[in-house]
Amino acid sequence: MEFRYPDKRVQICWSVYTVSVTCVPATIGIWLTFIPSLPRWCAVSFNALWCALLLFLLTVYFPRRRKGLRYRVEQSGITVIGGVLTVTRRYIPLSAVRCVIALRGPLERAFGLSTLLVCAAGGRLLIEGIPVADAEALTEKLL
Amino acid sequence: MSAVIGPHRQHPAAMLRHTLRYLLLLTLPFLRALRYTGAPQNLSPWIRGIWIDLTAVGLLFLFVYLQWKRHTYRLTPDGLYLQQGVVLLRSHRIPYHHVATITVERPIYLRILRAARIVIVTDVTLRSEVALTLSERHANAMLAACQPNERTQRRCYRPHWYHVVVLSLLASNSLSGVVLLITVLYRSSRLFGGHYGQELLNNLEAAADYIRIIPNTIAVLVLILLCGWGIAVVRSLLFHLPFSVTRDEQAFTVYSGKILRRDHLFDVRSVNFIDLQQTLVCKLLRLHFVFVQCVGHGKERDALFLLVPACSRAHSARATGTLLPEFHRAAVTIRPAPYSLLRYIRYPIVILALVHPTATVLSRLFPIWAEAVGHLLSIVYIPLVWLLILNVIDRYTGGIGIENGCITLRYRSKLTLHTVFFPTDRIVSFRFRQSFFQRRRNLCDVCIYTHSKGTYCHRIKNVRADDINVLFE
Repeated sequence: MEFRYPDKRVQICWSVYTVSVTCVPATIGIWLTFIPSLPRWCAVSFNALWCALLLFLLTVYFPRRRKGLRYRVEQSGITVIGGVLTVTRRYIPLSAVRCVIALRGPLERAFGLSTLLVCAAGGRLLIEGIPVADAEALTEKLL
Repeated sequence: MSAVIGPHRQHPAAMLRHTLRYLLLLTLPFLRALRYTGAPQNLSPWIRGIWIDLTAVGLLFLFVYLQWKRHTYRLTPDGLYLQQGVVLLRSHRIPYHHVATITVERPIYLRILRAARIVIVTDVTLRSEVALTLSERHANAMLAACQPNERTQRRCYRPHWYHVVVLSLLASNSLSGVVLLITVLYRSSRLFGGHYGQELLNNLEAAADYIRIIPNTIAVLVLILLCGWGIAVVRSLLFHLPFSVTRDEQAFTVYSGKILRRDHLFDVRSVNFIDLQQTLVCKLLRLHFVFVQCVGHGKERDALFLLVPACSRAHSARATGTLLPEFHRAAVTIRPAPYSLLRYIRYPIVILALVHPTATVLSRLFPIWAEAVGHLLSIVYIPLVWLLILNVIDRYTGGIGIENGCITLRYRSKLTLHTVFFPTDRIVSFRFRQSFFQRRRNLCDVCIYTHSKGTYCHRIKNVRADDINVLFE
C-alpha cells in the first residue's frame, strides 16, 4: 500500500499557531526594550534571536517537516514516518489500538482537516493534517 | 468452581482501612483540643463542648460501619460479584477470565486477626483493581476460585536460600534504604525529642573518625549510604525469604516472605516479557536476576516481578523453561554495526573529560570549599567509569534476534544490562529512529514497545536499517 501525505494546508495551521505563540517573546522583547537599566544589546539580541528562530521554523523546518511526514495503513498495522533532523518510523499493530481521538482546532475546522491521535496499549501515535472524510474512514478502519 | 459462595461481608479488619478514609472528620476535635490546650482555665469550656467531638467520632464509626456492612462479595462459577455503597448502591462483576493478577498480602497485624488482604487486578481499562480484606478461609477460597480447575502438570521452582541472599546483597538499592532510615530517624526524633537526632549524628561522626584514609564528611556520607544499603538488604530479605514459584496449566503462583508474606497469582497470558538483568558486578560473577513484567503487577510504576533470584545462566534457563516454556530465548543475530563504539561511549567520555576542568573552576570560585569539591567530583568518576565499561559491554553483546516466534533483545538501560525475550505478539509498537549522522551510514536505533500501563521501551542502538527492515517486514 502506498504512503499517504498530509494536506498541504496543515503547514499553514502550524505556521499560524506558531506565529500566535510568538506574542509571548514579542511582548517580552518590547518590555526589555523599555527597561532603562538593561543594556540595549540585550533587548536587541533577544528580539533578533526569536525572530531568527521564527523565520527558521516558517521557512525551513515546517516545509521539511510536512514533506517528510507520511503514513500508511496496512492489513496488520499502521506506520507513520516523520522528523526533520531525526527521522522516526513508528509502527502500531491494529490489534493494539485501543482508542482513536480526532483533534480539530479552529484552523483545522476552517480547512476541513483533522489530526488523529491513535492510542495503543503501550503508546500513542499522531497522524496530522488528514481530511475529515479520510479521518473518519480511518477511525472506522482502526476500531 | 461449581458452587456459589456468599454473599459475604469483608473481615471486620477492613474497617481499619475504611477508618483512614474518614479521618478528616477528626479535624474538628483536633482543632478544638488545640484551641484549649495549655491553660487549665480552658478545661471547663472544652468539656462543655465535648459533645461535638463525640458526634464527630460517632459519625466516623457510623460511616465506617455502614460502608463495611454494605460492601459484600459473591463468588459464582463465572465470576466475582461485588456490591457496595451506602447511599448509592453499586454492583460490579469481574469474570474470572479477565483476572490478570491476584495478590494476597498477609502482614502481621492481619495475620493476628486471621485475615488477609486480596488485590485483584484485571486486564480491562476501567475499575481495573479491587482490594478486599477477607478472612484467611475466604481469601484462600477466592484464590482457589480464580485458579484453573485442572491441576495437571504442576511444576514448582524453589531457589536455595543463598540465591535470595545474593540477590538482596547485589540488587538492593542504597537510596531506598537511606530514605527509610531518614524517615525512621525523623519520626523517632519527633517522638523522643530533638537531641536524639543530634546524638546519632555525633555517634556517626565518632565512627567516621576511625576511617582515616578519607575526609570526615565523606566518611559520614559513606557510613549513611552503608547503613541505607544494610537496611535495604534486610528489607529485601524480609520480602523474599522464603521464595517459591508454582506453575499450573494457565497460571503461576509466587509465594514470598515469611514476616511480610505475599502470595501472587498470575495468569500466564498476562506476562509480557522475561527480563534477565545483570549489573556490572553480576556480569563479573556470571550471575543473573530473572524478572517478569505482567499486566496488572506494579501498574503504578511499571514494576518488574522477581521470578528467579541470583543464579547462573544455565540455572535461569532451566527455571524459566520450567515455569514459562512459552518464552524461548533466541540467539542474537543483528548486532550494532562495526565502528559504532564511539556512539556508545561518547557521553561518558565527554563528561569524564569535563570533570577535572569543572573541579578546577569551582575550586577557584569557592576556595573555602576547594577540598570538598575535589573529593566530591572525584566520586563522580566512579559511576562514569562504571557506565563507560557497561557501554563497551553493551556494544559487543547487545542486539536483536527472532526465532520460533520469540524475540530476544539485549541492551543496557541505566546501570543494568538486560536480556529481554518474549513472543512477538506481545509487541505493541516499534519505532525506528535515524539521526542525521546515522542516515549517512544507513543505521538506526530501534525502540520496541511492549504492553504496560505506561510505555515500556526496549532500545537497541546503531543497528543496520536494512537488517531491521527485513526482520520486521
